[in-house]
Amino acid sequence: MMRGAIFLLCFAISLLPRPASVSAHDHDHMAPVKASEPVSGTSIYNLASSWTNQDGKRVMLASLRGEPVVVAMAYTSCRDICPMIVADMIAIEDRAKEASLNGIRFALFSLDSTIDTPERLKAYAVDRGLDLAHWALYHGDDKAVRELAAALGVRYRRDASGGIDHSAIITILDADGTIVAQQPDAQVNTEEMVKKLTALITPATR
Amino acid sequence: MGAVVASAVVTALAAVVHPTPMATIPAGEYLPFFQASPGKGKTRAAPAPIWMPSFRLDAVPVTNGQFLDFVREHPEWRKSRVKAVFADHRYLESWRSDLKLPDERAAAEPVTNVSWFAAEAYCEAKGLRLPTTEQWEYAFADKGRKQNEVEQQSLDWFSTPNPKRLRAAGRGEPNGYGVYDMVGLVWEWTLDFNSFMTGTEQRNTSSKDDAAFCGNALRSSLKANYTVENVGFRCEADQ
Repeated sequence: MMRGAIFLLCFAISLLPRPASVSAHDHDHMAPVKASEPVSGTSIYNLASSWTNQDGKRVMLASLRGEPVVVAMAYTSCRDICPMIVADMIAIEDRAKEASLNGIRFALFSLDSTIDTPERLKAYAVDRGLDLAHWALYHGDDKAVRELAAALGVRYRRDASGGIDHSAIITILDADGTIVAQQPDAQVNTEEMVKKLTALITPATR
Repeated sequence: MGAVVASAVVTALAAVVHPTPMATIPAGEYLPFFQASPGKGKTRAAPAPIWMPSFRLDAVPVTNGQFLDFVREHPEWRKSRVKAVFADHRYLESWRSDLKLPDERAAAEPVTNVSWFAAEAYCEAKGLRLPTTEQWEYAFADKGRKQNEVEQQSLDWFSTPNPKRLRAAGRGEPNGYGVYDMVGLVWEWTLDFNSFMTGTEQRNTSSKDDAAFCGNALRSSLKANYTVENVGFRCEADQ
């Protein structure tokens, strides 16, 4: 059953809509996503959950719409896995910059709805040197965390010492919020992730 | 096991949908099937019972008939309109159309091919929620009543292929709390279905003892928009 389901998962991901190939004649696909249009059925922005960012501002998930986003779930008091996730995301950011890819956002959603207040998230961002022009860190309630984790396929569970066991998965969402790539942290291939991002960035926004 | 009396399925009243009575599950101590991991660098202590506050649980799994009422009122959960991110293409697979069950008999049978998101939305619409895995297991454990019998039922069920057709919900013997069909009919979504980890992304847990339970493999492979032919749900209310 498990193997079957994992196979199905791979299959399902391969069926996800590919980023539109860009050609000079393909104006429809080059048009940036308009906020007024409904998001596609595969978009995680269909989740109605609201979050608070590191500046204390309440935002809907769909506020990330419009540009590709590199997403992960973690928590600030996590000492081993989460720094690896963030380091992997920074590596993607650096490599994307070298490739002159602008307009990519990085979003870190906290799994710890009790401890990770917006203030704490802000301090974490500063401590890690995250460029808040492109990065955002989000705090949500239990339900928001549970639903986003469910949508991203992130598994998590509190352990007996108050930590959270969780999957370390880095996800790329297209401008519309549909998952186009996912990699577990131990296997993040920066080049591949940047390739995916390159395919998502149209010449118009480059 | 409920399935023992499946042959006595009566279908005459199948189309009539009654509000589901909820069983009251009293507070008590409970030894989880799965112990939380002890935390990084700590050794596992002897299994310790946890205190479970009282809650209420649907006495029977949610039926097709009840789910039909739900999608009537919440069109966004109809087959033709549900978003792919919330339910895969097998959502309500056996239904003939948005508001049409396969037949009258189906109304009394547990709804299956529902995703976790759909199950959550159903319970929320009723002011309820999905039970946590611990709540579900606590209700299932039934204070150890008829434990040997239940274990045997579980093993029999795990080793039996899915039946072509499910029997009606709530027709077997209830357990000591008055809860029906916890084993032998459908697997059920829990609120924290995604708290079971296996595979390369797993961290900090020892999966060896967790894997002792047959359900772990199924649960750790599920995604929230999957709809599976033998997975249904029931709702919970805190006291």
